Amino acid sequence: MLVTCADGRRYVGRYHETSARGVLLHDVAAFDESGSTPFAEWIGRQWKFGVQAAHKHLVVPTNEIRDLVRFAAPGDP
Amino acid sequence: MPYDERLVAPMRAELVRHGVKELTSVAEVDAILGDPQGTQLLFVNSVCGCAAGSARPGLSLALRGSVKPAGLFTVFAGQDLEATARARSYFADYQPSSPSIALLKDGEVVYFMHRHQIEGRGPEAIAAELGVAFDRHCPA
Repeated sequence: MLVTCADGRRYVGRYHETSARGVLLHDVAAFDESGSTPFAEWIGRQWKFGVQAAHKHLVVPTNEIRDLVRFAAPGDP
Repeated sequence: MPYDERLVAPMRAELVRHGVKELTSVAEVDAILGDPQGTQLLFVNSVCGCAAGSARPGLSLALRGSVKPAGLFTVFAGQDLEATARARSYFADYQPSSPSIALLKDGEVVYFMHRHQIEGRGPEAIAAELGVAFDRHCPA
């Protein structure tokens, strides 16, 4: 899943469940907004070469999530 | 820790009966991937039900077509640990993922299907995508 937070944080990971604490993801890659890599390039690399997991598990609080969508091929709807 | 082999055996057989050769040792992997010739498919098998349960039949469906890789091979992640690690070393740019499917041509990865591209899809969709890759990269 691709998770976009209201403050701009973006994660890709395997969805496990939604609980009172939030959405639990496994093997999560986090986009570095302060880095030099544009998001489109970063997400394209995650798709092509696999998710470069920075977190084994991550809970994203539900109230911080702006968008939660299936991780699809770049350019796919 | 590897699963009981009795549990895994049917998952191995599901590929072997379609002509996919198992590589269970480093030596076997090196003999095949270390001497790349033409098109080779490597299926990284897995116990994972949510993805491998679709990937294995998806590959089986794809292999019914007339165009397919010249060599068909598999390693079993979580079971044949050393063989799997060695196989992954041949496409080290790609994150470890199981199940996954690599298509190599003369030793270069020309197509890769990760677990995240398998999960949530049925065998038919997986077979269709593999068929497109076979058509694009494998000689008829």
